Order: sequence, then C-alpha cells, then structure tokens
Amino acid sequence: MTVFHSNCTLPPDGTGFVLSPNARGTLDILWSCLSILVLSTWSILHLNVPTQSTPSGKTQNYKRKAIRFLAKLQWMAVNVVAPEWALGKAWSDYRSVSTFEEEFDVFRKVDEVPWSRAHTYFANMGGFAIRFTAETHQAEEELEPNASDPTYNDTTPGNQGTNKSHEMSRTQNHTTVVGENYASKNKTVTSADPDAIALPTISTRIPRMSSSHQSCSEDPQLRAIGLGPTSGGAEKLGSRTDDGENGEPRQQELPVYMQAYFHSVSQGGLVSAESLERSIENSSRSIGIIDWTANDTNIHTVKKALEIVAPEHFKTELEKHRFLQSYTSWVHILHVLKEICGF
Amino acid sequence: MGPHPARPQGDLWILDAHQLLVARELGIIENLPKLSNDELDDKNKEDALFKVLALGQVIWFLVQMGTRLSYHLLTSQLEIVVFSFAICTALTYGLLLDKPKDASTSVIVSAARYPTPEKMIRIAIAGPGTFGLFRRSIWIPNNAIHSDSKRPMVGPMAKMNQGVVLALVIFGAVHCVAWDFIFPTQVEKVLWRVCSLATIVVIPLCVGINLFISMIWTRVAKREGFSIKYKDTEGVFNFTLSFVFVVCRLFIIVEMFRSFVTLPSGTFRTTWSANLPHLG
Repeated sequence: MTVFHSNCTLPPDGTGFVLSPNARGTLDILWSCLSILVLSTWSILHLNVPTQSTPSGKTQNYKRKAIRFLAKLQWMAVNVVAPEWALGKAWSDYRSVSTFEEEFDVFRKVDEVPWSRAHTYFANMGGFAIRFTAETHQAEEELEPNASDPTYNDTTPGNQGTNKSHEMSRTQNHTTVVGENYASKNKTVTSADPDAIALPTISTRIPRMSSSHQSCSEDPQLRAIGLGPTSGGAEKLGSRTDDGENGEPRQQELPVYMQAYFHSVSQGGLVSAESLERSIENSSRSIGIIDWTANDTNIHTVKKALEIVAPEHFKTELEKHRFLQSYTSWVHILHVLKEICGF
Repeated sequence: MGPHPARPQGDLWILDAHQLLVARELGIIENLPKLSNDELDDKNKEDALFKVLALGQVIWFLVQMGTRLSYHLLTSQLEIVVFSFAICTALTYGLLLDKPKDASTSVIVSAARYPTPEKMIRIAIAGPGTFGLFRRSIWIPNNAIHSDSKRPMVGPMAKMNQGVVLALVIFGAVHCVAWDFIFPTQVEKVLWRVCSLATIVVIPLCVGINLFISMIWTRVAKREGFSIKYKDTEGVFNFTLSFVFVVCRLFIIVEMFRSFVTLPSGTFRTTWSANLPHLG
C-alpha cells in the first residue's frame, strides 16, 4: 500500500486568517464518518426502563451497570446492521402515543393528574408499575358501572355499552365457576401438539362446545376428529351439551387448535414461562434482588383466564382481531401478569 | 386465595399505555398514576449540550455531503453509507422529541383491587406484542411493539412496517449514489449495486407478501368463523429473505471500509464546509 504525505505550503508570517487546507487525509474521512455513525446509532437509543433490582454490595452494582451498558451496545449493533429498525420503532411509538391521546385526555381531567405525551411514552417504556399489596381489594364479584367513571370511548364498531358489559360480567361469573369445576375434574388429560390436532378440522366452523364436553377425559386428538364435518360427531357433541349446564351460553367458540393450545398451556406447557422464572432467578443472583414476589391471587386468576378465554370476552373488534391473530403473544403477556416464581 | 401473608409486597405489573388505560377503565387502579411534568423531566437523561453537539455534527456532515455532491466532487463509499444513516437519524430524532431518554426507575402505583379473570384477559390483549423473541421479562422489553392503531383490520406491525419501508427506501436510494464509484474489483462493483437494490426491495417485498396473505386469511376466516388456523407467515420465506437482507447489509458494511484503499484522488479534495465547526 502506498502512503502519500501531503505537504501544504505554510502562509507567510503576519497572515491574518488561514483557511483550512483544501485536502483531507484518509483518516479525516474515517473519523468524521465514524463520529456520525456512533452518534446515529448510539445517541438515538431511547431504551425502556431496565429491570429494577436492589444490588447488595459493589459487585452486584457493577454487574448491573455492565449489563445495562451491554444492552445499549447490543441495540447499537442492531442499529448498525438494521438501521431501519430505529426509524420504524420511532414511528410506531409516535403513532402509539397519538392513538391514545384522546382517552388519556378524558381520564386526565377526571383523575386530575398531569398527563402529557411524554407520560404516555413513559408508560410504554415500562415507567408505571402496578403493585398489589395487602391493602388491595379482592376482585369485584360483579362489575358495577361507576357513575363517576367516564365511559371508555372506543371508536371501533362492535363496542358494547356499559349496560351490556354489566350483563356480560354476570354471565362471565357463571363461567368462572364452571371453569373451576373443569379444572378439578380434568387433571388427567394429556396435552397434545396444537398443530397436530388442528389439521383434521380445517375449514369447519366449530360449533359451540360446552365445558362439560371439554372435561371428558377423551384423547384431544380423537375429540378434534369427532368435531369434524361428519354429522355423527356433531350429534355426539349435541347430546353432550344437553347433559351439561342446561344450555347456558358457553365460552368455547374458539377453534379447536386454539383450545388445544390453551389447554396445553394451562397444564404448564409454556416453555418460556419457565425461562422467565429462570431468568428472574439468575438475574436476582447477579444484579441483586428483584422486588417481585409470588401472588397467589393473580396466579389463580391467570389460570382461570386461560381456561375460560373466548372471543366474547373481548369487547371491541380490535381486541377480538388481535386475539385471533396473536393468541400466543397474548398468553406470554398473561404470564407476565401472573407471578410464576417465588424465591 | 388472597395475598400471601409472608410476602406483603405482592406482585408487580408493568403495563404499557394501552394496558394502563384498560386497567383504569376496569378499576384495577383508581386513578391514572400521578407524576408531575417536572418529575418526568427529571427522569429524562437527555443532555442539551450533547444533543446540540450531535445535531451540529450531523448537520455539518449533511452540508459537507451536499456541497460535495453539488460540486461533483468524488466521495468515498463510507461517506455515502453514513450519509444515509444521517438522514434516517435526523428523522428519528424528530419523532422521538417527546420521548424520555434512559429513564431507569419505574413509578410504582398501588392497585385498587385484584382483577377478575375476564379483566385479566382484556388487560393482556392490550399489551405490547414483540418483534422476534416473545416477552420474557417483567419489564417491557426493547423489542416491544405497542398498539398503534384502533382500526381492527390494521395489523399490530403496520406502523412499524411503514417506518421500516420508508427508512429502507431512503437507505437503498442513497446507496445507489455510489452506482458508478470506483471499487477495488469489478465484482465488488456489481455486488454493491445488487446489495443496494436488495436493501430497497427485500423487506418491503416481505412486508407486502405478508400483508397480502393476512388479508386473504382475514377474508376467508371471516367466512369460516375463524376456525382456520392463522399461520404466521414468518416462516421459511421470511427467514430466507431476512437472511438475504442481512448478508447484503454485512457486505455493504465490509465493502465501505474495503473500498477505502482504492479511493480516487478527487476524494481527498475538500470544500468550504471544512471551515465550519465540527468534530473529527
């Protein structure tokens, strides 16, 4: 490699002002470019609130610092290879904040709290945590429409009014009880691969399926086939429904592949729930105790939610749609609401 | 049931904005959390001096590139790539003006009452989806995509996709400025052209096909009462295209440094912009 030594003429003594040379070196280009590259990939990082912990001692404190720094480095690397991520995420975040501006404005006035766009951003970053304490009231048996509450105005079609939701919660309470029965009766059912049993029922609309039917300890695979388009299967199903809960509206309007998925998950088949538990344990060892403890009530509620979940629980078209498209994601978020581990 | 007596702390939910709204609506919390604007400002670690320096440097670079291109002076491939970064950064900065930077503690609010399973179901569906790995932490992961539209037919990734496509078109188009630059070998020149075009085309193509498939699915499933399994199209097809995309990006990153050894002499000429204040 040849190296060129540039050699500019110097101005005579007494020159008032000297302009920069009209030439630059290879490294001049490199440094100016690298400075921009670092600025555009590092300084635009707006990461979420990191995992909170209470480090005991210097080691854990430094470890935590290192982990947070490495997380930033990692996202910087993402920005170098896929810079479009940063712009896409920024646009999505921006739109997300704009989407809920009206609703927050309503609650801001009613609750008399300061709320700005930055607050919504902060919420999306994980800035607001809800803590369940000994003072927290038990779940209400029936949702009483509160007069002081503004109705959460959803602009999507299919939104139910307050009266309707009052009515719904009553029926839901009933299904809760059914769900409990089901849980106690149905301990022996083997969980199956949801993909495997989804196949035979493709393109059939699954009729309402009572929980009494689901609680029969039949092999889920056979059950799925029994629900196929053949009339024999349907009749069988009908007779089962009748000897159940006297024709009460049931929640099982879900396709079989989803029912199977939820079933296997509620039997403890969710791998990432275990890895969540593990990662909490590991990080509490390295960065200090994470203030997050077991809560029996919420564990119980999540279990029940997994058992009774149905499209009718979702009050808006948006929620329904999202549930049908990304029910696996829903399960993962649900598992974060629950508390799985205790140390 | 009830909170465990030995663990008076109870547990912790980190909810995003949409979930917070639903929780407020359902009475899990009695009020929206109270945090004054000043307190929120205090959490924001944005440094004005740093921001001015960063913005100044980016603007200087844009001016420098502008003058070079307008005088038809030669530039290096590295500068072209960095130029595209600078444009996207400027746009991103603009979008993130209101977002607090590097906040490291959460504000903790006490729950008013426990949720029923029905409420839990609704709070969970409002939660953020994730790009790539599923959520595995209590705190909101950095790959979370929040609800950004109230229209049911718009997928959760719609806004993300819009931003990504815009960024890639800017990126690839700027890369194409180096179409006729001098490269160490002819093969590299051809590869640069291919990779620049691939940067523009690959991901938008991916997004387009996915949208098309999910549109078809929604139509069919609506008729069939959603009994057909929605196959996430993020399968082999997406993987292949993403792989192609990453390889292209890596090639461009390697090539922008490799072409440094064969820069033509015109590249070393500067413009008046060298006199403007800048770092490095």
